[in-house]
Amino acid sequence: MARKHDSKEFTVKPLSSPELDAVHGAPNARRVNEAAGELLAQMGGAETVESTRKIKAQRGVETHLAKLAVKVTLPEAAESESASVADFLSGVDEKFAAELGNDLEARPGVKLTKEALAAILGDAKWLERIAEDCKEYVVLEQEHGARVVAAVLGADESDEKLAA
Amino acid sequence: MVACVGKQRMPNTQLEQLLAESGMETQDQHQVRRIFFALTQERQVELLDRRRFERAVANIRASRERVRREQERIVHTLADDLADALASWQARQKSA
Repeated sequence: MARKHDSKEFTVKPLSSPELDAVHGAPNARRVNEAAGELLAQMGGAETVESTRKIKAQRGVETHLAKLAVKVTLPEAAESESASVADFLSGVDEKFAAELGNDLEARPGVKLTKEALAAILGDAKWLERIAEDCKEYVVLEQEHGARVVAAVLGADESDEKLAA
Repeated sequence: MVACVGKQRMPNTQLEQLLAESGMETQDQHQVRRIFFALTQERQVELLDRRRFERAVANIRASRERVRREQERIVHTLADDLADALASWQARQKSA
């Protein structure tokens, strides 16, 4: 069985009988958690209980953002290389992401390194702000589409509406 | 005037000429084209009246301009705030 998260894959192997005994045989919850953490570390290499907690927190953010009808992918591990904002905002409206990236990249004092973007865009507060702004941006486009239909179907009627 | 074979359509010469002269953005032209081919023949004839079409185009272009300005404002304001946040973060990194 393989699971995917943030483009990283890790394989969860079924527990062997001795491993199951080790987990279920622990006398209290804390020992069980420690045993589970050790097993996870052995099975997945870098995956630990702490990482699992982070993954759950990240999923909570993604679920919340999904309710805003805009999907934002969380940035990968930080690197001190120049980056494009659009790289971190895949899943958001492409035109919006491109315009945001162009605006930021045109500013002489702004250094768009992967490390900096990961730090800022890893904050749920910023993801929510970007998602809300993107939603507003997209809704404007949709409303314009409706006005195009109105203009084509009945210019006389739409003259009054569009003049407002 | 219009021939439809499944989803393939023969282009309407008069419509294409009006669209080419309209100055509308390409995506708006595409939308007008799609709507046109969904109209009844009678409504298509009405739309192809030059004055009628130009009125529709004027409304569409005005709407597009308003949307463009508002979208630019949204993006620019967000970029302002992100730039401030990036600058603060980088300043903290330097002092750390």
